[in-house]
Amino acid sequence: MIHYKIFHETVFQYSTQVSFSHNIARLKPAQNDSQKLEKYKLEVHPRTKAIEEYRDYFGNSLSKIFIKQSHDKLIVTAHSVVSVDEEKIAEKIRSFEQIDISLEELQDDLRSLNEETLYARQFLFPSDLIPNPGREIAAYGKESFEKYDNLFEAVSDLTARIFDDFDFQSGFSNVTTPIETIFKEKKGVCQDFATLAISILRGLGIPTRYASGYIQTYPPEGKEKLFGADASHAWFSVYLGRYGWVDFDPTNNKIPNEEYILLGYGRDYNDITPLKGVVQGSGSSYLSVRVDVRTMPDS
Amino acid sequence: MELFEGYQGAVYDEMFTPEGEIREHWRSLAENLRTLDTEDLTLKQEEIDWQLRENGVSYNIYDDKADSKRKWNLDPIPFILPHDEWETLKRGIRQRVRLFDRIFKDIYGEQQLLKQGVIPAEILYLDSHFIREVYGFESSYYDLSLYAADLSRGPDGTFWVISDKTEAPSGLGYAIENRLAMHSINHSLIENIHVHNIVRFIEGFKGSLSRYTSDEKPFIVMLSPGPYNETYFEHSYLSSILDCELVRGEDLLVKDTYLYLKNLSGLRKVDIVIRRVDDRFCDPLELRNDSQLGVAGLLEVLQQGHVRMINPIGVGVLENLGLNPFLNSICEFFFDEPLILPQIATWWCGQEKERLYVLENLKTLIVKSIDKRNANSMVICKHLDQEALDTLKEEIESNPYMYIAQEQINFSTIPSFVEDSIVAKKNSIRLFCYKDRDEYHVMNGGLARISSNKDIFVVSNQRGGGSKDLWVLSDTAETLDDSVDLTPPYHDISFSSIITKRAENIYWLGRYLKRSIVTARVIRSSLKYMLSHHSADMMTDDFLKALTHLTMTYPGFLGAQLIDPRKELESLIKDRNRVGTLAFTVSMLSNVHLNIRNQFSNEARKVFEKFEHKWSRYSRKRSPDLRDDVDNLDELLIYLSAYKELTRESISKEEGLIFYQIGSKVEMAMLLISEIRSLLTLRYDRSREQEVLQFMLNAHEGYTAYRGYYKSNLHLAPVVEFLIFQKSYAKSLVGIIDALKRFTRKLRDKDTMQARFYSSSRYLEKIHKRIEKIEVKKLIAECEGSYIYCELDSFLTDIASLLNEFSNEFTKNYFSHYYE
Repeated sequence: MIHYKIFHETVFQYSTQVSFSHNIARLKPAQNDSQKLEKYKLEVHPRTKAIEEYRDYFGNSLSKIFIKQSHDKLIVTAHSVVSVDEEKIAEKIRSFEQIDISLEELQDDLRSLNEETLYARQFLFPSDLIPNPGREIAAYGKESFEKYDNLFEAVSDLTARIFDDFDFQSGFSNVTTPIETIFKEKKGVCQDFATLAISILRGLGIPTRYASGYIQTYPPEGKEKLFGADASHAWFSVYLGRYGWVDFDPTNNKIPNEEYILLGYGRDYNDITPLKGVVQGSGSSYLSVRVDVRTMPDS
Repeated sequence: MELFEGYQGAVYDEMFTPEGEIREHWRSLAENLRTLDTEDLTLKQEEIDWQLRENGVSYNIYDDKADSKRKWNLDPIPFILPHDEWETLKRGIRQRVRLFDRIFKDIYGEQQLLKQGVIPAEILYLDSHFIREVYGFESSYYDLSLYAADLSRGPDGTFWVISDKTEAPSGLGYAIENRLAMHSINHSLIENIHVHNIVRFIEGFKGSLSRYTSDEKPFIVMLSPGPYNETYFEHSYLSSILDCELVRGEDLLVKDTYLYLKNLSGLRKVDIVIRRVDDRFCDPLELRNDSQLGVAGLLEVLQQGHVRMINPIGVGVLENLGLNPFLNSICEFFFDEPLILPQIATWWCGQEKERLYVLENLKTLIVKSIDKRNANSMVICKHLDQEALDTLKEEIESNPYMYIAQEQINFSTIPSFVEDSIVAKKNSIRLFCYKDRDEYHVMNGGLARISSNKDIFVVSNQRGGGSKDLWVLSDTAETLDDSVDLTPPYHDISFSSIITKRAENIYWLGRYLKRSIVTARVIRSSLKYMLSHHSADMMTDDFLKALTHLTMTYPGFLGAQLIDPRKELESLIKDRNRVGTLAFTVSMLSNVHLNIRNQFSNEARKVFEKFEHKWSRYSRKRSPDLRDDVDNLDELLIYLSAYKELTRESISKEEGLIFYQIGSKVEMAMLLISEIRSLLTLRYDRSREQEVLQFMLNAHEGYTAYRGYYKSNLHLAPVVEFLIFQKSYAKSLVGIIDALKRFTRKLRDKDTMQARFYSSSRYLEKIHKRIEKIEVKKLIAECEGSYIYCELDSFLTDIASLLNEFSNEFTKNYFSHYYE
């Protein structure tokens, strides 16, 4: 078991005083076979009692936060402790070697009527932030599927190609940057690469969802890890019929392992935005985020 | 029958059999029509048009900027349905609405339809009106309270359902207006015919609302997107007969999971929302974040069950046309019975067999998207050439789940009076029903609409068709609709219940109206001066610069030497995209007017319409010469002055006249300061000073008054004294500030929250003190080494900034609900 301590702070700085603000936080890590949430605390400044927790259509937990006092700065901090079962994950990743499924077989599987396929089929279509791929992007993606019949191999290949062909460059893009721009410039950040892959895969008829979470990072050798130097991470997850869902990380060319902590899944970033809000007041707002992920000493 | 000579209907005509016989249920009407000729009908049509116009019945057309308000057309010849046929229709409609109600609960709850494979999941997943954010609420949330269906008669004489309206069915208000107009003008036509009354339906609906909450007198609002919406007339009309408050998103506020209306006394809890805003625009927090029409946090209020919504968010998915082909199976699945009413044959392209059929027979079909967001993208394939057909085929093949195709039916025709003759028109009828406890009630009547074109199959108000009153024959005599009084009971309107936004609009009406008038006046004075002083003289230059200061349209005349000032003048008057110009101010005024015109008398509205008409004709073309500008501005000023008088009369004290007065005075003071600063702080030689003083007083319309106070010639000292210090002159600075003090005190006396008075009024006190402390002599003392009167200038600058602070504090305190 690895225990992670996660700190995720979001600050909204407003240019003028705002009177009311309504916010939604999706900052509570998910629970599944290999990931357990040990502790979770949501801290809000200015302080408020009006925080209600709900669960959304995708099964993610969310908190609605209402602030009714005048403020020019909102700070929402999530403190989580998550334990990850590295053995279970390793076992699961090993089992992926058994996967052998073609696109036709997947489509057959999707036709069978059960809750799993009903859930998966909603990830077949374009969503607000992830449109259909254009001709060029579709052609780029198709190469991997011409090389391999087995979808697991083909998606692995696509993941590797995105990793090779694109440069990681922060500050170049934001959530609204179109994938055409990313594709043309061949650079972006994790969510751009995930979005690009999702668009291609959905275009081919493979249910693909957007994953949001964190990844453990390491400081340069011999140096202490700086607090708050981490970031949120994004990757994607494909449905391979009888074999279930498999996650891929094109930013690091990896199948997410024990270094990954999952917040939740959605159709795109909009379904799983860590914090969003609407304020009453005029003027602009400035957003800043600090994330820290570190293993706990006793583990 | 002379009227119907040469009349030629389709395969099935509502009034005539194929043999040319009048159908049984039309005979009484035919009898009543026998004595009339086309001239009589033309007369009736004119009277109807007049009454509808008088009642303000209109229909806004999107993207029709020139004249966005279309008049509502009502045909003097009604649509008639016999009693027996009606009973069958009613049964069918009741079954259909019960079915939709059941589907609504299922889609957002158990999803049996998906799990049992009754409908393919893709139909929902591709529809932007399947709103996941309202999934899993309490089952009582999912109530289809109000429903409408459009039906048309096919060639075999049976009625087919063509579309279902579940989200915010419109047309009810128009149906009632049509009926009332028919009663008052067309009484001779209805004689000896027993027509079901429809007002009872409205009363029933109104009564049903109170059963949605435990409150005996729930507070109900109608949430409208505002006056630009196509059916805004109806929102305003229905809200008045349903006795609820007509509001927009910005009037509401969510606090601690309850919904409130903002009014001058604070927040009032809302119990029921009748919704006319599209689902996805209702909550910028959870739904479309670019929406200005909704209320942040509304979804949580709904989830908690703290407000009731008619119809609830999420209900738009029921209008998904992809459901149509499966509706019969759904009916069997839930109710174990087939659909009573036939519906238009629909093929969903997400199924292979159906898709192949559609692709093969495309030419004869109509293709639509299943998402009603794309309702305007309907394609009538018979009008397409081969290339367009191929493109469409390709699109369907690549996005098959997104499309349905429907057969094109040759619908029935009905005699309609169009441009002085009776012609056959395609038509459809809209039927309405509401839910009370677990029963659905169908209106015994409805809205019949006729197509604007004999060939076009589509019947739609958006495309400018006409309407008819729908008469359902009764076997007994009923109370007539016009004998029922629909106006709501008298309400004690108190000052504190004024909606905040309305008060704010009234305040801005005061400001923009004053600014429009003063700006127009000063421009006119400058133009007149230019006309009477032919050669380009120095003064013209000064006056033009003053215009730039007054309107703050920098650099304007202060910029590089203008060779031809005409161009800048033209822009200063007519460029609505430039802040500060007359056109800009007028467009702000138009906006405010549009938002509150409901409160105004007919005359005020008409005067403003005329003003806008005149203004748009003038401002859209270039003026031939300055004289033309002067004439036009003269005329526009007359309209504005008349409008000013009429609005002041229309807004009663209880409705916030005080805000109008305060706005008007604040603007007046600011403009006066700006005028004095730009004209009188410069030092001129004696002869030019004369001209300037004269100009100043003329532009201010104060020359005669000045003469009454000061018999002497024009001198700077008395003019400054007159404009700033003359207490008995209402338009002097001190006079305006005194009035402002009086008005704000009056406001305090009506107000329940007195604290907000003091935080703004202290600025008025400060201004007052500054004026009292200073003397004219000191203000116009020469400043060493300066060509301006610097004391006067800095005094006015201070006053202007204090006034600004007053205005900011005042609007914040009264309009922003900042402290609650």
